[in-house]
Amino acid sequence: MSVSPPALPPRSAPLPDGELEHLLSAFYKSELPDPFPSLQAPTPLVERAYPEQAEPFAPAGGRRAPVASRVALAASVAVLFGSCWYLSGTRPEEGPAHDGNLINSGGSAKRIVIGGLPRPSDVPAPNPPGKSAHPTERGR
Amino acid sequence: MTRDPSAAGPRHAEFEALYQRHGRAIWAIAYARSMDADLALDVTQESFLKLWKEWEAGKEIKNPRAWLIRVARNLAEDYAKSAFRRNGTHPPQLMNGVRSGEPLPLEALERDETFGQLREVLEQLPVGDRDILTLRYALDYDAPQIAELLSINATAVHMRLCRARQRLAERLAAQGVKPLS
Repeated sequence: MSVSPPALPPRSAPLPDGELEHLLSAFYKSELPDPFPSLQAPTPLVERAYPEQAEPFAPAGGRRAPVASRVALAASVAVLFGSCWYLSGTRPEEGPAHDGNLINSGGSAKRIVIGGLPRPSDVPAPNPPGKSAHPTERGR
Repeated sequence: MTRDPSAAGPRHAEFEALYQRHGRAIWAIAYARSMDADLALDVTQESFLKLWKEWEAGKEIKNPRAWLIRVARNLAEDYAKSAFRRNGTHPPQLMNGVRSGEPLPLEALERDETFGQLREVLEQLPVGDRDILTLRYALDYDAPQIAELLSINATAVHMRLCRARQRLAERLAAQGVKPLS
């Protein structure tokens, strides 16, 4: 009894040229999108070059709304400056009546000077050399 | 929604005409690198949008087709590299050549299997050969057209096409691929 060798996997003959062409054509045609989708430019260049001709985000009120908003902005700025001027107390008619005494305008009380130089008795004595003012700084 | 190109300006009309004329060729260039039709379409559209941005920036491109081909090649290669990092050698949807989970009729199943094997063999070919095959069989370009598009001579196109077909026939025979019924 003879044992036959295991059969090799079948190797088909090379495809004839016509068959290969048909196969390739069918494959590539199936891959190509059909219909090929169109593409439009996001925004036309002319719209940016001439904004008066096309304003995509123009409000319904036409050109009145930008003018109104500018007037409102100008009024707001004017009010802001007016308030600043009023609160700063630089009105000319109130200037001479104020003598700078914040506690008693009669002049008998002690005058407080804000932002003035400290008196010598208020200044702490300087540290001796090698000693830091703060205990934590000594350890550094 | 479609717009009237002439109403939107000459640049807009030129852009759409350019897309109509070269869109498929750019797709073929991208497809030859990615072997993925959807990705190739994304690359095509992205390339054209880049062209539009260049125009918007005021840059003048003397040869838009050559510029688009170069951009599409770079984009497709970048995508292929990132896809390789994510998925390995094959994107998941291309495994076994089956691109959809939907049930298919038997004939379509056989055809998809054959196409899957063909895709595997095509992926082993050099990119230059795939460029030529895609332009020849997807777009029916002849050798002079392919030569002009790829800036090579027509004889080289013939030689590479012949060699690519020969390799394909051998490899498909080794895999036992049968002709389509």
